[in-house]
Amino acid sequence: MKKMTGTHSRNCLILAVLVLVPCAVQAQQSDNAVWASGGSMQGSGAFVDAAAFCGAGGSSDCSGTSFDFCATLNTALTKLTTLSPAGGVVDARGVVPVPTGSGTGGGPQNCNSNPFSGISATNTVPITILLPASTIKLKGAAWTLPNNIRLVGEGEFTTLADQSSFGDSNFINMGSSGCSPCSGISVEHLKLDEVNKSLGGIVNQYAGQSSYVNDVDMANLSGTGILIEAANSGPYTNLSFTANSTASCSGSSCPLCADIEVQTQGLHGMTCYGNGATGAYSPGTDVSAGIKVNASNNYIEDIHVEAFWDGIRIGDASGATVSNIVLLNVEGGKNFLYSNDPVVSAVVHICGGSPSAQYGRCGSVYSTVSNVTVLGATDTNNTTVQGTETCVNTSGDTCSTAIQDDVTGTSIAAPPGHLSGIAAAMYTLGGEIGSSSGIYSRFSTYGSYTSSVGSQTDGSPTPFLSGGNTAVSGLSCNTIGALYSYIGASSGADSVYVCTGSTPTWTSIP
Amino acid sequence: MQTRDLGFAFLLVASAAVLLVLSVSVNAQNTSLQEGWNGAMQSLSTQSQSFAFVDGVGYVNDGRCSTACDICQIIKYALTDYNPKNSNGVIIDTRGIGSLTCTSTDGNPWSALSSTSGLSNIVLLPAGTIAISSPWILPNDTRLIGEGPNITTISASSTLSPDMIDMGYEISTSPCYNPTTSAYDCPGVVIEHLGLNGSGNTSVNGIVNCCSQEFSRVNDVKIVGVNVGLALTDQYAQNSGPYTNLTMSGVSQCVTIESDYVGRTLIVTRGVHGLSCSTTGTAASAIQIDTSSNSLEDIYISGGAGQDGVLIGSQAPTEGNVLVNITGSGLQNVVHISSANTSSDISILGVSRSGGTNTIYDQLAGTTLTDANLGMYILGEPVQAGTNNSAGYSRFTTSISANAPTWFVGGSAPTGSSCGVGDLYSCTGTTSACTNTAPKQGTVWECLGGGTTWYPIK
Repeated sequence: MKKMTGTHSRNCLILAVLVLVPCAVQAQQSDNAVWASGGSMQGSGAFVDAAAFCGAGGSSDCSGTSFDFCATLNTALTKLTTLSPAGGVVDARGVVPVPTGSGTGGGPQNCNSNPFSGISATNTVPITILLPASTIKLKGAAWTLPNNIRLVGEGEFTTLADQSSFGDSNFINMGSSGCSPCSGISVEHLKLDEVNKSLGGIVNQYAGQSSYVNDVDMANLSGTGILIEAANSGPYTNLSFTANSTASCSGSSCPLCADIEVQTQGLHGMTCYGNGATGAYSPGTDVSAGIKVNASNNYIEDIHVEAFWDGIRIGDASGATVSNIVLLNVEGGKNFLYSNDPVVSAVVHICGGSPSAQYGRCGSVYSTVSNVTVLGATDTNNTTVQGTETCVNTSGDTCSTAIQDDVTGTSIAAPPGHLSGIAAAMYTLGGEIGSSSGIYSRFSTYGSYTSSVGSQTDGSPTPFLSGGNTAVSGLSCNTIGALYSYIGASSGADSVYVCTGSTPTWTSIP
Repeated sequence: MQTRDLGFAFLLVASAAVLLVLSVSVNAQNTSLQEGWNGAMQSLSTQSQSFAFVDGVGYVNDGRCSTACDICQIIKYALTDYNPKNSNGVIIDTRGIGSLTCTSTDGNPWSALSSTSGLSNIVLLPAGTIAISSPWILPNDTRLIGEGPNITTISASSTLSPDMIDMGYEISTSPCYNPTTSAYDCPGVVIEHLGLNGSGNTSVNGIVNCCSQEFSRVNDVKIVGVNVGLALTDQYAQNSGPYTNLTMSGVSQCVTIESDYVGRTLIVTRGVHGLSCSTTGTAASAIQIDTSSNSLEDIYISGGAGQDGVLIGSQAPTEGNVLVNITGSGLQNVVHISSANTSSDISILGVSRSGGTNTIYDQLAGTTLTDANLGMYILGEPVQAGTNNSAGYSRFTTSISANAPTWFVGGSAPTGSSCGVGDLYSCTGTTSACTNTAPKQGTVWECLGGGTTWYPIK
């Protein structure tokens, strides 16, 4: 091997030192270090590691009873806005308590101050905040996200919880009146966990365009998981809500998974778990709903609900007009974790003036609802609640519906004995002729059953168009007004039959 | 010359001082150190570790590897060293790793977490082809993230079996098992932005979800040359999804959503949204649905001339499934509703057929449709007539095929138009426009038996 000269060896030593000390005169505290030309390193202001602000003396010691996660985050945010006027990333994933030997992972650590202090509500630069896999306990007020703030956790182990001194009614506010209409605000990959107070999750009153919520677990909440009052926000995707097991329903107050009060970009994928109170069988005091939709132009798909009186309730606000609602693949059933096996009484409940005594009503008020399209609504576990209830107008074992339409007084419910539940491939409520005729355009794939599988006498079976190769002329039927196309009709013979008469019978037309 | 030497000496002393500072600050937290931690600058001259993530590069020369560690060993040892007292989870960044061939002795990199409650872990995979010889079995709250479906590829060895990636495990000793409920759930398993390649091993499955429920999904994944690309095999995969932006080719089947081995029914998923599926044409179907309450949206299927695109209810009864925007090429049936079980309530919106034979084969209702483009086919419930509890099904379709009744609308009488038996026609024109041959006049018409004559009902 060729021996290095003195100059070469000195240069190599200098290079080694530079490698070992990855900082340059341009670097600022907490900057991400990047290689620059000539083998040197310099800080990048676009990425600030908040761990650098944890403790005194550069210890990265994010621990101690006085440690304030949010103060550290706020310092990093302030540094980012100073170093990078164009915005960037604050990486707080390393802001976790140093283990004490007996400590458990991730803290919890306290948030005793407002992490967004000093960040303008109208902030115009994009800032992404990466949160740690840690439990962060909030004190004082909810996190109110300024304009263009994206909050990203590591999944359900990034948890926001409440201290006993938490003084707000929910965890996160998307925007504020200071930036209305706000935009570019999002919340992703984290969990909200009610520990001490009765709380809601996320309130979006102000954040519209480019503002969304994704992959958020709202656990043990007593209030509303997500309240949406900012138009054109969303989509709201991959959400889960679990009602606090001790939360009760009082008056109109009840745990609620999602409350949609404006047009949005949709709710796509949500599981809603109620509790013994929200799913208690109580026609007449039936205040609970998993998801409320009180505004037009919303699309909701891939929803699973357990133990809420209504799964998805459409139009329970007085004086509102709710139209153009599309529901796709919604399913509801019982929750067996509670001793009273709470049910979903109506997987989809369209509010109106003709409620069912058996399946309850939306409340004392309702909206003007029309043009609702439901594809794939399934009522699972159509058994009695506790085996003792007597459902009105039946022999006692049909306590739930796939769709309850109080506008037309229609119940799509399984007949007694059909304990596996019932599904509706399609139910479409269109518009009304005039303003008070009570006559609506409708399509449904569901009618009613004969006595051979139980008498279905509640509600108003919906006429449908059907087809088959059976000669039905003169045979009994169940859904007056339904049509049957007999595709095996002989040449020149009538092929369309209607279910009609005081003793309903399939009768050719004319 | 003397000045240069003095300068060098000063630099040397300064460097030693910095190293000392570094040493002190690192040793101050020695109890929780882990190789590969991110470094954060504390001042102009010092840095300390950050728990933010572990860079796999720090493990390349780990002494536990006989030679340089491969990526599977790096993931395994990073997870092994992970101290849960540090945080509730760890991010392992392997994007800087170059040794991407795992050996048969590496095993499952997540085995270090298999006997614990398993906190969260996020693994960032590098560009390139990662060769694996053992299934990657992901415990709860694992997120596997590549750099793109054509950039990060996981390749199966010839002996790998039965699956390339498992979402959770159905073993009573795993953290997925809840002894109180005797049920399994490994939530929070996410696979994104990568590719899987069977590499000639066509018997191995791609991704199998037996038991990952809430917050478990697959997104932006390409799967090539395996048996089943994505299989949901058990009721414990309920509420998982959505499964989005998937591309599969050279597979026996693209997706199966199954009732489990003892017939328990998976209740509901958040659907498959966005799938380009090209099969080898050997299996009975490209997509097989045997459970209720699933949504399939934006699906393109290319397969064999004797193959079904979407086969519903062949192994178990189903209800409440919704299909939207399904395109099939070269298939026997783009959608096949099986009569092997009593399924019901299937909504299909937007089906297209390119080549092949049938658009929809509804075996339950005995209907075959061949329309190249079909707006709607909805199968509801059995219709009763007298004592016959299944005289037909409630149905709506926009098919112009003569095989299923539909409802036409036009402004003039349907003179000379062919029709299907049982079709309806609403004539919306003026009275005179709705006149066929006087006195045949009507607003609503039916297609009489024989399928050649429209007759005015009213």
